[in-house]
Amino acid sequence: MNAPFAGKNGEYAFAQLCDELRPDLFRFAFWLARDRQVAEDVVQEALFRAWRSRESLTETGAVKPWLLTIVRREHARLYERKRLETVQVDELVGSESPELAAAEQQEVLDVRRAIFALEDDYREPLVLQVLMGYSTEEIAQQLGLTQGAVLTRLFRARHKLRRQLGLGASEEAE
Amino acid sequence: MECLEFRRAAGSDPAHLSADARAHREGCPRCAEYLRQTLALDEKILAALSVPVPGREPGIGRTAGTALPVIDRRRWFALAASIVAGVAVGSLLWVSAPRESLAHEVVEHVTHEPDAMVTVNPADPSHVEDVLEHGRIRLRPGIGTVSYARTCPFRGEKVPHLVVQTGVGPVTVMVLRNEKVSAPVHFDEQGYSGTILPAGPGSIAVIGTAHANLDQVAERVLDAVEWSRD
Repeated sequence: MNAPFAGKNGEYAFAQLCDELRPDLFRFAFWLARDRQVAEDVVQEALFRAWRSRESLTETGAVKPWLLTIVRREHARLYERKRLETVQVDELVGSESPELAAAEQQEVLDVRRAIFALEDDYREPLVLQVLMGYSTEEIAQQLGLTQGAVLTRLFRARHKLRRQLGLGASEEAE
Repeated sequence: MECLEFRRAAGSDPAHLSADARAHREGCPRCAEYLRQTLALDEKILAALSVPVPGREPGIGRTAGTALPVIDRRRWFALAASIVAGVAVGSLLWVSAPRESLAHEVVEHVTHEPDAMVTVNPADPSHVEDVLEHGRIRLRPGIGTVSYARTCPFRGEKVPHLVVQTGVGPVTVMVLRNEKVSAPVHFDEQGYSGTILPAGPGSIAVIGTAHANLDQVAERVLDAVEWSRD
């Protein structure tokens, strides 16, 4: 069996990949949890688990979706019951690096606030598509949905964002 | 394709339109404008989603299909330290650094497998048997409950790494067939106490928590390990 991450060279290669993928993993976890500290915990735990199981991987190309799956599971396992549903969106946005907020464009903050307010079912496929560059087919595989369901969720996600941001909602197709 | 269908397609995957949708866009200024607005919205979404990553410069984002950010090598060491208490760091150092003292490397190895010390339930007996067989040893009764067993790389060899539950807490046992010591070596570092004892063709390292009295445990281990011939 091909095991690209076995042995010392494999350890090094896996470490490099984790380093490259860490920003994506953190951002994915952040948008699942909507909390920076929770995201760091989730990524840390996910990478720990991944490290222990790395020798089971047979393809380097499978690492990213595999790691994203582990992040999703870790988030569900550790924090799903603690989701911040009752926290006000303004509070979430405000807690998200205030020093950066001051420096960022107001428009970006408005969009971020709108994304914070999206339901999980809409936010997650949007993150996978726009941030991770996944195709709708890949998102369907990742989330265990049909491609049609993914397309619907993505459409509705953008529709809700447009409405929240006051961007030509009357022109929408829904 | 009709406008409604186009907008559903553009609203769900604006960067990957079908040939039909592209043809519709060419002949429909309002749908072309809708697509332009949607792509502009996606740029804003990407900017909003690209939250700063801890320890990295703010604003590093990645659009679909673009190259990954350049790796800052220092970040890896921070990551490795945080995710596996230095597993990878130790590995890299192992490759490049001159050989450290045997005791130091034993402690380093133990710190690299923190999960080994967490489990208290008995390990799968067949798995333990595999590890022992691979290490060409057997265990006589009396060593205690083995809660962890793994064949680990150590100084270029594969060695049995066991954790035994004892009265002084979990104790790590590493059977080092190819590491000879002329006399017992006692050490106390990084929160661990231990001893490396001459045994069989090589040695056995017994490591416990700081200040644990390992004398009796070490004796039991020496009595229990039975070496097969090379």
